[in-house]
Amino acid sequence: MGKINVTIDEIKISVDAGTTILDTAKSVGVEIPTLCHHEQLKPSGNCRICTVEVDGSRTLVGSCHTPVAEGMVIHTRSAKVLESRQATLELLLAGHTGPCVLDMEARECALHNLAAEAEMGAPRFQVQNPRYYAVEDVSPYIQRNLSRCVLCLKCVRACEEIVGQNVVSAAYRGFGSKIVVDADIPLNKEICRDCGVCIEYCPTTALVWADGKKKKSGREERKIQANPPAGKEKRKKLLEMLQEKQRTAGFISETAMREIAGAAELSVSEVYGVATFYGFLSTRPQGRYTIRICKSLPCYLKGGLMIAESVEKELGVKAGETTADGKFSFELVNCIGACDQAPAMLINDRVYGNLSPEKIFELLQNCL
Amino acid sequence: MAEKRIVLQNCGFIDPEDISSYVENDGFAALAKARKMGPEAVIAEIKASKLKGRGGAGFPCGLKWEMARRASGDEKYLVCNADEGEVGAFKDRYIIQNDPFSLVEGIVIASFAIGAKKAYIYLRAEYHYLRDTLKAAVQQAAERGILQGLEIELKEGAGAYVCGEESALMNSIEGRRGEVRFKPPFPPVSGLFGQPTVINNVETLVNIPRIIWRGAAWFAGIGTKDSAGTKVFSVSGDVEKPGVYELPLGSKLNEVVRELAGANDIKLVQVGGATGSIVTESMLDTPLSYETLLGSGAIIVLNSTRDVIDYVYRTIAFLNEESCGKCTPCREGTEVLAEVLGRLTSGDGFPDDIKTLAELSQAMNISSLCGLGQAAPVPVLDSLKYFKHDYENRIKQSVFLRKVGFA
Repeated sequence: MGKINVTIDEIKISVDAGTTILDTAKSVGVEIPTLCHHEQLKPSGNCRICTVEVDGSRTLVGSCHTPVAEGMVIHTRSAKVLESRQATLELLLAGHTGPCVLDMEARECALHNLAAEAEMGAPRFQVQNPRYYAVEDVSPYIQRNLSRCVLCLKCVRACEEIVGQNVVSAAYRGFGSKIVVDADIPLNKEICRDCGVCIEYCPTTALVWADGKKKKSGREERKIQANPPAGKEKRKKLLEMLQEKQRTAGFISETAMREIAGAAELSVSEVYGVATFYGFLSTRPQGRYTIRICKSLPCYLKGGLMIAESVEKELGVKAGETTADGKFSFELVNCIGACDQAPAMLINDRVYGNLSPEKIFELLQNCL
Repeated sequence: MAEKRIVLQNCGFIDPEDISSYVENDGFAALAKARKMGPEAVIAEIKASKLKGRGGAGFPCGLKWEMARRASGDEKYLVCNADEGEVGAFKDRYIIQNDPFSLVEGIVIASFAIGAKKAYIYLRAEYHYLRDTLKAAVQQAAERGILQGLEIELKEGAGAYVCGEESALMNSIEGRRGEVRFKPPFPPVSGLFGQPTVINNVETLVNIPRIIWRGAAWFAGIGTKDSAGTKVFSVSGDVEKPGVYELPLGSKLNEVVRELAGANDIKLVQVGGATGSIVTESMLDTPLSYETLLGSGAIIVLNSTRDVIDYVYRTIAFLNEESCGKCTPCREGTEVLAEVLGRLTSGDGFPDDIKTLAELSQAMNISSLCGLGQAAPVPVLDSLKYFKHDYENRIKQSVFLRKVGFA
């Protein structure tokens, strides 16, 4: 393996090709703070706490997953780096419920400590709907408090890569993302072998032992057996299996998810995570006709919301609901690529454009 | 300025359901020529043509192919990105609806050049109605012996804007959540199933047979120095004639929105979809090119009656719903931007709001994991640049109304 010459905070160093910026920095005593990174886990690059500035790059780069390149000039403490890190920390704090600073256990939280090191006050930012999840204490061994979760995916990766299980997976999408057990049920001892590995990797106090402590409470050390998770080949078919179910049954029930998980040799949480990511997959029963009205800008400019209102009036249901007779489901969706015929909608797989309230009335009469 | 139809040359002149009408119009002649030239010469030709990716990022196509051809892997993949989710974009739909065969020809040439035995077309779920058209086009090409061992598989998306981002798209084909991956490694080195992969947009691939047939010099002679060829634009919003227009790169925005699409009252134009840049009326002379502004070629016109803050709020609300949720700046940042803009839209602003929007946007722009998160705050930053008064006045109004007890 060749050697790569880089400069990091003015220090010149030569390291093996393939070394990450983070490890290179560490080797010369430059500390870069991290949150989602752990040297025993594959890098994920999700938290963006460890981003640094590299000359010639417009954007910052994640130091935990970016290998050094010849001649790279890296700055780990430039104004750009510190300002963006502060914003990222504030975003993570803002998404929480409850004042972390008053939390007696907060000292065990890596996020709290990073904020303290950065001498941060209250975050500048506010979210629309702060996350609140009830504390899960069904398991006699492990307690989950997802209101404190920062979605670093360490528990997901530790469960898969260290323990060889997939008890937990990321589910839903965007700000609504959540780490789920099975089909989003509280963690329990039937599903989880309570080895507690995830607790050790969790940087916050979202995962603690049942006594509320982060440290092991004198429990005997369990030998960790890392089996490579099965079914990676069959996984390719997962999305198609879910789409097929959606087409034939109109939705993907919990039973269907269990069947698919069995067939694809995946855990239920993994199947649930994929099923809840995509907008055209539904975990609730849908009507025979699914009406999807586009609410994105080109349709909005042409009165798309008025069309939505006339559908609401006609069917007597709101967006996201299904009529009592199970005939119509009505959704407001993002751009369907029929902007030249705005306002437009899909009824099942067919496009209807240049809509007007009269046309809606006519179309729905035809479906009835 | 008249249109110049190269990509769309067959649209309206062939039967999209019958391959023989395409063959009669010199269809697959470029493929035959490419096979005679050999993969290296094909790549050299595409490099010489200066063709850049038409999906939005604008990476040089020939260079991407060359990287994948030279990369070592058990298998190589060509992926056609037909996940046209960008708000206001519908050009790929139009191409597939009218001329699916040119796309198939482009896919076969590209696969031949990089050495792929397997190609995927990733079609967005919203375009399910194009599935049969595409399948039939591939089937008819196979029956005529055109594929020569290449397998073209149609994969359908399931409703996620982010899957138009190439790493999320690959995760989706692999049966995973459509979350983005960090780069490097880049797809031509390690992409789908860890193998060298080229991901090209529909329009990019349709340009391929044209370039091979008429030569790189001809193609490079169209457009500007760094933006060769034409671009297909999707124009919508406050215009008389919304639709698809193809013009040489370097054409002025005015020519598209005023002369062709018939906009007569323009407050602003967003070029490039939800994450695109804002152009005001006084800047309509701006040429559309990779050097200036372009993106995926989605152009949305807003007239003088439109509320800028309401428009920016809707755009951010869209991105908030469509963020994959993997990285902090995009997942949490779009949520915070939506909170501030939602308040401003309903007249509940605070003096610090402009500062918050600007600072957060700046941070998201440089620290998000993928191009989507990085570009998400662009409409916020641009609107603050050109329409700051609107924000300031909205905040003053809010402060006043609260003072007199109306909020």
